[in-house]
Amino acid sequence: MLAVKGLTCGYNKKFILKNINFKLKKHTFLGIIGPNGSGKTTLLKAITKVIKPHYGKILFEGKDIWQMGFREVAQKMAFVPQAQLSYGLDMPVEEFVLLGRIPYQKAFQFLETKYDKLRAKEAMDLVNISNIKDRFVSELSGGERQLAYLARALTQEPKLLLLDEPTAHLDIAHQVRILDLIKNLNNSFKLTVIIVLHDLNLASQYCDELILLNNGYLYKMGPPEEILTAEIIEHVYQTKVIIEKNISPRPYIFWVFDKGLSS
Amino acid sequence: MDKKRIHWSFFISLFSVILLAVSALSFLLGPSHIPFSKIISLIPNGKGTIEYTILFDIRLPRILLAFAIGGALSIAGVILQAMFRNPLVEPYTLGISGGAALFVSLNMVLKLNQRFGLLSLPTSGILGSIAVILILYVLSIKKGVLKIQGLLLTGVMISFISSSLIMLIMAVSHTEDLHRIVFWIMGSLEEPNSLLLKLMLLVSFWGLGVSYLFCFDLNALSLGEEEALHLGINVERTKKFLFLLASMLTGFSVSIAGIIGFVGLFVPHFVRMMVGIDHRILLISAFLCGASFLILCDTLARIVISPLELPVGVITGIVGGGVFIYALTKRRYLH
Repeated sequence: MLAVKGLTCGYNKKFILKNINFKLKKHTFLGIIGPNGSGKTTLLKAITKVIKPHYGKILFEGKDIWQMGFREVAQKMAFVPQAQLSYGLDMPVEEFVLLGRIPYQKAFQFLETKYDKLRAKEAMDLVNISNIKDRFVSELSGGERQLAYLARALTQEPKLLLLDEPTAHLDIAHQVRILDLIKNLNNSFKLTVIIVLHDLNLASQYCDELILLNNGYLYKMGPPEEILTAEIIEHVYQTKVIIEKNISPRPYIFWVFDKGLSS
Repeated sequence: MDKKRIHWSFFISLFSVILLAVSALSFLLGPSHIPFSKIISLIPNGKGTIEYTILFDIRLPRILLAFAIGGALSIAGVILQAMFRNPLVEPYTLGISGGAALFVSLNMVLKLNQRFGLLSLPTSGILGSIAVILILYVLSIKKGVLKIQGLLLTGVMISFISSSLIMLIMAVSHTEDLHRIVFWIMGSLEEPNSLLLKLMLLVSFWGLGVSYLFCFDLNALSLGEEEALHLGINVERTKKFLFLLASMLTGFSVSIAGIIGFVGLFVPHFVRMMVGIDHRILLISAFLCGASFLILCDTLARIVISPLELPVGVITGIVGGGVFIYALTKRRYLH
């Protein structure tokens, strides 16, 4: 579905990502992990056409995304940003979610169609925010706002959903709620998901595949069992860890404190 | 009919009624008192009388010009505030008015208007605007990307430079020139030339129509450039077009009526407080309210110390600023 070929890109002359190659099958739940500054967000930006690659190509369903219009891209992939400030969001949740229909708006069409509204309603039902649809986005809590962003992304009817640390700054209840929801969408609607996560244990639990970035290079790609090993993490993050099995068979990572086990 | 449509129709009708009422008021009031009963009999068969001339050759063109300029400046303000996501931006922030004022002052001091006639002042205003727009555009575009923050800073600097140059011109000019420059800068809707009036009406309606092609883009852009891009907006193309549209509206308004301050800042905020931030309703509401506001201010300017006239820019500042501060204390808005 998505193929990244020899991607090298960055801001101005500085390259953040260097020669990234990977392929993503439909219906995968892919996690991108890596230390701060390793290029996780930049990779998402490259895939969503925010920054132009210096070298290499990104193919979506076999088509170069830079050969596609912005509208066409927005009809196929939707993006959920990190928890954001609320400037300019003095609008009801329902209106905000309806913004997700912009990629489908025709010229001289000023009002949403019945279908647009139906899609927005379904998305709000799905993420369970229909009860707050008349409240202003600027007045929501961080967790609710993130759900509103997710509903807006779903209203775009994407095939590929990209999320940049959707659980940052949220409590564990909201973290699990959002990730469960995304996993559900991935299962029941065959939605392909690319998610940037900082929390390695969340990444381990939810993702089918992981990409580990280090200093702009793709260090390793594979299922969590292959990526989250003590040696790899120690090498990339320069931090000692112990890996155990979680209640589920996925690996679980414990940080080793200086004054703890190592002494 | 859903809630939104009822809501929108209500506001559009309300603002239209206000516009009509204000225009009627402005038509009826003035230094020379013409009673209402007389006006009705004048309309079919009063041609040639003094009253008829006052009503249709002096008051009506002023109302139309105030309508066109108030509307144009307000939508320019709405567009720029959405693009820059900055509540302090207004049509004059970008220095376009400064350029126009500088060229017009030069024109007055060099007495070019005496040689080339009435149209030379607006023409030099338009030339000044175009010069600034070109400078801004060239300086802010790097590798095909229009840098919004750079644009804003460059604009503010151009404003400063041109106002310093205008002060320099004023310092070396004769008293009668000085007086005219000051009055031009404060803005006036007096005695519009019929050609310029038609041109301004045309530009204003055209601007309103074109801005509506971008109403969804503006909604998306007010969330931020990257957000807009994720919603499928071709951000670079849209920004350039909106910048040129807003500059054109501002440039024509300033060249024809001088720097009528505050309309493009006050009206967008005021309307946003009432109708919300959806540009589909915001643009038309701002146009209607801006037109009403400027017609009202111009009427006040004409009658407060009649038979003398106040510069309309003075009234817009006092009335607009006062109302706005009052509204801010009454409602939760800019938190």
